Amino acid sequence: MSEIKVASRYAKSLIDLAKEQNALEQVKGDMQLFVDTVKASTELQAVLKNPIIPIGKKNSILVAIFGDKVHATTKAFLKIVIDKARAEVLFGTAKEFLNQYNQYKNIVTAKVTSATVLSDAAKADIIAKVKEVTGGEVRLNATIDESLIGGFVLTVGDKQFDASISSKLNQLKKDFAQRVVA
Amino acid sequence: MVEVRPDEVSAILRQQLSGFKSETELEEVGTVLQVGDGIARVYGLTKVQAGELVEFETGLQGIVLNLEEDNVGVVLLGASDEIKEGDTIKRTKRIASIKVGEGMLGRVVNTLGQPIDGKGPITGTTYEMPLERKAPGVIYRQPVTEPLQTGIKAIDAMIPIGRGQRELVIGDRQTGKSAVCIDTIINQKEFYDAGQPVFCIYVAIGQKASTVANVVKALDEKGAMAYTIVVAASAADPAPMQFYAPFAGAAIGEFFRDTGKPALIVYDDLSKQAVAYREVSLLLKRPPGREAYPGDVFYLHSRLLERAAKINSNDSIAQQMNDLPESIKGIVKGGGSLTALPIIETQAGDVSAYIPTNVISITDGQIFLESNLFNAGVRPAINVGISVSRVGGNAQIKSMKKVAGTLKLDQAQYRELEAFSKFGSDLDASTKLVLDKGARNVEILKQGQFSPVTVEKQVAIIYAGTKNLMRNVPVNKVREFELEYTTQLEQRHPEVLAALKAGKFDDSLTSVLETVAKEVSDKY
Repeated sequence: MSEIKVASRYAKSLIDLAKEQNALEQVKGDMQLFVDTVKASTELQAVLKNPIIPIGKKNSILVAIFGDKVHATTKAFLKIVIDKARAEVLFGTAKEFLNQYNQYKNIVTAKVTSATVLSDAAKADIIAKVKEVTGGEVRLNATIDESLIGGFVLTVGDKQFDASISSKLNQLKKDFAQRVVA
Repeated sequence: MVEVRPDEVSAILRQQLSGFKSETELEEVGTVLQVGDGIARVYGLTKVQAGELVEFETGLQGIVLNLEEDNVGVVLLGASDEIKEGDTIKRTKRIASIKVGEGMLGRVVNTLGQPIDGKGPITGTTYEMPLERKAPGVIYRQPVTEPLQTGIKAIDAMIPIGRGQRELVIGDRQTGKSAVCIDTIINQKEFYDAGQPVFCIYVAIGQKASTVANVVKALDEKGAMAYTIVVAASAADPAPMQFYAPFAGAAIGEFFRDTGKPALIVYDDLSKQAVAYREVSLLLKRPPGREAYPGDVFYLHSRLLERAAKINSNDSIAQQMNDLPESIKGIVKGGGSLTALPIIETQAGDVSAYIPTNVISITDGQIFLESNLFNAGVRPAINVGISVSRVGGNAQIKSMKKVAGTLKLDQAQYRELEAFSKFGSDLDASTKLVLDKGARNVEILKQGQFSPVTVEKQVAIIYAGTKNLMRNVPVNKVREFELEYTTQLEQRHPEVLAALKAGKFDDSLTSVLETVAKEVSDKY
């Protein structure tokens, strides 16, 4: 089975368990912490993926890092996944957990890329618009890419609204080339 | 000196640009997870349909073939060099299709319908036809009754092909499979000149580009390109282009078929197409079956060949045909046909391999070409003993049916006795008669490449053969006799030939044939 499938199964059961124990918010915080920690440390990523490191050692490493900082459920979850020799999917599972949490809470992440820094008013406008369409709570993730020349690209899930100058120019180029031939 | 004013230039540019629409639309996108071997795995595109055309940022197109839980498998219709991990890919919301029109006649196009002969864009009205389309249902069809003249004596006499039939051409390499089909295309010139063209489509799959160029040149020289479209996916094209090429050809053929015109399509050859499909399937990690072909390789060929059909001649029934594309809905007419001549290459005469048996069982008959016949100088190297046409008999013109009725049987007897004759022992008179007649008939059925014979001349010469009117002509002079005999008929009795062509056959006609044959044979 592919990693994504395994990760989504684990994530789903963890969400269900956390809901049952009324610890969803804590577990979500733990997962966010886990993702941030692993992202920050390439060594930790390597350790999780390395099959040579014994299971017991991986367990003690994670306990040493997260031991007191996380909820009991999270701790137990980390242990069981490592015991089942699935440490390599932990990172994916944590990310998938956050995805599924967002889905459960109806939170959508919108990514907006623009050529210049967006004003707060513009951001608020975009959030309001996305909220109107999706009906959920919106998290805006803004990045800057000067190669767009102007305008912006808004991506929500697998929907994309491309209002950048560079893509317009590209389109014009294609259109023009076709018309000159025709 | 002629001058061009700058404001004129800018006016033209402005005019060219004026039609540009810059609306931004909500697009559905995905990101490339991995790419290689002509396959891209894409994350996202959640609502994409199987068989849909998708577009990369670079303008490269792909077709969605695999829909999985967490990714989408896309085959690329071009080089994958410029595609990187993380690239976005857009839905086009169009099922893979090509633009077809009469402007394509005389052109060489690729699988996407784009011209590749350097003669500029396709002109005239075009209609969008899907590559994958369901074959017409039972009620929209009609039995095969009109002949499709191939101009090859052995085929038209003994293995007749009707319009709407699927007749397999099968044989080893270098036995003249393509030559038979190209001669058939060339023979349709007679009908084109008479104003009732049979539109021809030649689909070249996985062949050398130089071979395709030679075919195009040969067709051009014989004046056959005027009613022919060549769809080429050469060996250098990506595998998806190769296995979709016959579907592109079928889409073009369907345009003629559904607008009430007869069309002929040659798939040269389907074994290479199956190999290309196997390649793509294995790369998409579909489980391999016999000879490593995927499980649906039978369906690949059956759905393609089912699209060859004779459409009901009633316009109002034809207009209700299933799965008609929107673009041609207004121009549908009944009575059209699509005849398919698929080619299969066997390895060392092994017709029981996987792909040959599959296609034999799908088609309405097969023409076997054999290398030992070819080497013995019997060209076209058709083995008439095991070649059959299951439906074409109804489509033969009456005069030909009468004349050729005994030919197949005669030849079977001849081949049986031929083994005896090798001993050179004393033969009784009746055996000798069968042998002499058979040897002359074999000569009659020989024919050069690119020299199709009209049906009336075929009837005349085969009549001479079956009635043993050439018994005094030496075997090596039979071809000379044939030429003399047909020219005499053409010059002195054109009305007889015309009557034979119209399907008439009576004593007054045969007496003319017999006198002319006697006159000519007396010279030897």
